[in-house]
Amino acid sequence: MAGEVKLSHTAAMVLQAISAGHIYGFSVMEVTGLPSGTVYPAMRRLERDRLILSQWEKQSIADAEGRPPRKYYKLTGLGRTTLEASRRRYPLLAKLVPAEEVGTP
Amino acid sequence: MRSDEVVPSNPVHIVILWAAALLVPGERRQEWLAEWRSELWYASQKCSLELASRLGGRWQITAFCLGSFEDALWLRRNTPQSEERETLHLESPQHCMAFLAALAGFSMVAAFLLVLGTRLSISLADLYYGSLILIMPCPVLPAITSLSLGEFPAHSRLGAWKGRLQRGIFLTAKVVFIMLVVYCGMLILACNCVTFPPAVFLLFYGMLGGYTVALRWALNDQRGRCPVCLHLLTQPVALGARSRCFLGLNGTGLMCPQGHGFFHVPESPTSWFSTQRWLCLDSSYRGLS
Repeated sequence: MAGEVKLSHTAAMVLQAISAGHIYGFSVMEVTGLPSGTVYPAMRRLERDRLILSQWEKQSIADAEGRPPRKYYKLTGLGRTTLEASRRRYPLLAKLVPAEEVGTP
Repeated sequence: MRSDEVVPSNPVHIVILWAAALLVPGERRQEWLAEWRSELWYASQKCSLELASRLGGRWQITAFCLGSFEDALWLRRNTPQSEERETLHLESPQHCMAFLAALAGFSMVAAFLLVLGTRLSISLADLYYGSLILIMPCPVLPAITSLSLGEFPAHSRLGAWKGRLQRGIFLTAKVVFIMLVVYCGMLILACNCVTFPPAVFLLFYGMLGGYTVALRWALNDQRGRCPVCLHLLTQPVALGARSRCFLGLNGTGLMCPQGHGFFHVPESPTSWFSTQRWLCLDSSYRGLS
């Protein structure tokens, strides 16, 4: 595909993790096993390239559950397209980051 | 789960995050810190729930926090430089002077209070000889720092005595203020290290280095300003190719934000372009800015 964004294996893992429902930073760290110094900059890059979008959770929801609000990430249309291409490039991606445990409360 | 069931954040972890936050550009710092503090809360919770050993759990959280430096550095590298520069507001000569004057004033007050507080028995002779030692590196400066400010063609706006006087006063004031800051800083250090004999030599070389850096900054700042309005030049553009340094220009071109002219800074001196050169533009170019 012309103009397709090519991702490194690490970035593809982070994108796959977000797609699988691990939608905040620490959850992505847990499921991928990558350190914080890798995951957070990778998420900033993905957001800069408009592959993911971030949104803060409502304060009222977090207050009701007695915890600080989280910053959630979700895939954009371009992100989904790029992830499909990355899955073809890295066939084991879906096995490395399964979608069973969803990190959303 | 209630929040009070969670292990409270160690102050060391908070300090690590605050230290990393200093690297983040100002406009993004608050949100960045909020995200990391929130993530730290969840990391602490996870470690307590997994019944990790106390030391091992804390180390894991510390390693998690140390990752914030890489994130902060990434943000710093990928934020446009212009946004950072705007925070200091040194583009206009008035703001630059006000900032340096405030810094010099603060340094003088701090040095005065420290001398008054720690050396009540100090005599005027001590202060005089001490000041002489601190000022000694000044005559060395012209020998180790280039004083050239570039080539300026004869032009009505640049050649007028009023303009030259204005540029001279601005440069002199900058040099005086910045050297005053270095002087007061070294005086504060001298007061604190007065019982340590080798500190005198360290202070002497520190003063020499401090003055050199200060004067170089003042001269570089002066070179990077429009000679007409004294605003910092903007929009740097790379010109030419590095391999063509015989008769071609290889350097950077900058422009006055008010359209007074272009400034060419060569990457390396060549036979026809050895130093910075100012190109005046007439009023018909003002629309470009």
